[in-house]
Amino acid sequence: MSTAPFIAQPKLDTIQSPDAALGFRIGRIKVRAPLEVPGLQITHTQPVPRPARFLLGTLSDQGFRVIKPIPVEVEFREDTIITSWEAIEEFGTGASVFSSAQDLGRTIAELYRALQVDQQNLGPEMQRVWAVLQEHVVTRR
Amino acid sequence: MSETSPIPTLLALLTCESVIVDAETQKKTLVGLFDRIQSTKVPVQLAGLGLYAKLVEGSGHYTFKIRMVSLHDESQILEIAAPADWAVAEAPLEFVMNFRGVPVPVFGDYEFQLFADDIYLGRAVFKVDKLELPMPPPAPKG
Repeated sequence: MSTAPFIAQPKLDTIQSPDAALGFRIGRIKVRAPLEVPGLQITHTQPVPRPARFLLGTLSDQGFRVIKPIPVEVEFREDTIITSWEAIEEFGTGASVFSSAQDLGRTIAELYRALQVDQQNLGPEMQRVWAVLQEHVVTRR
Repeated sequence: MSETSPIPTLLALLTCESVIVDAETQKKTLVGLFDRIQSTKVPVQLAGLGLYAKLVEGSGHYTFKIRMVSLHDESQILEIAAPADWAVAEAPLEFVMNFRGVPVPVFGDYEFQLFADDIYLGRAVFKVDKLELPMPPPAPKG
């Protein structure tokens, strides 16, 4: 059992410096009815297979932002799970799919930094990889 | 997510006993943050489990999906999908849920995963450990 999700954005003007003397008045508080989210689906499911592929939207590195989803393939080898981004031939490993994806994200971040430093001297293959990276990832200022 | 909706960035995904939302201000209070639960036995149902997510850098319409899996075999415990409109791009978006009776089939690690339109954004891991109760002292003879 679960409650409906509460999804909200705080008002931008919630905190203001008052330009008049502080006072208060007693008034009725409007209490919202329980939030109902149209289209909410809650599913308790039986075991489902691990995903063979998924879209990655984070590099787990605060210095980067993913602007286009990264297609990731998943392979299972004994106790290790390997996630890879075929277009740039990079991979990550871990004990679970998304711990492996975290490793892949950090590998991509390292590669981005390395190519960024050396971008004037890249060969044709690395130039292609650099172009793919720039299509999917940007650095934060 | 439309073609123009950006991929949001997950700032925080936290598990706790309960999330209280103040009706007037909509401020959230996270009660009993945890990443480890102890139980004397399994299977067990968690009396209270709250999930709090804070995201930035989004705008437009999304379908958010929460999955909880057992990391023992990555079997899915539950999945929830909810649509959301991110109206103010400059403001963060908060996603709060409270669960009752979430089943925990085995001891081990569990993971909540958050997706926006099937794009993976992040996870929160917690552990369910066996609680060994101390043996009672032997009764005095005589």
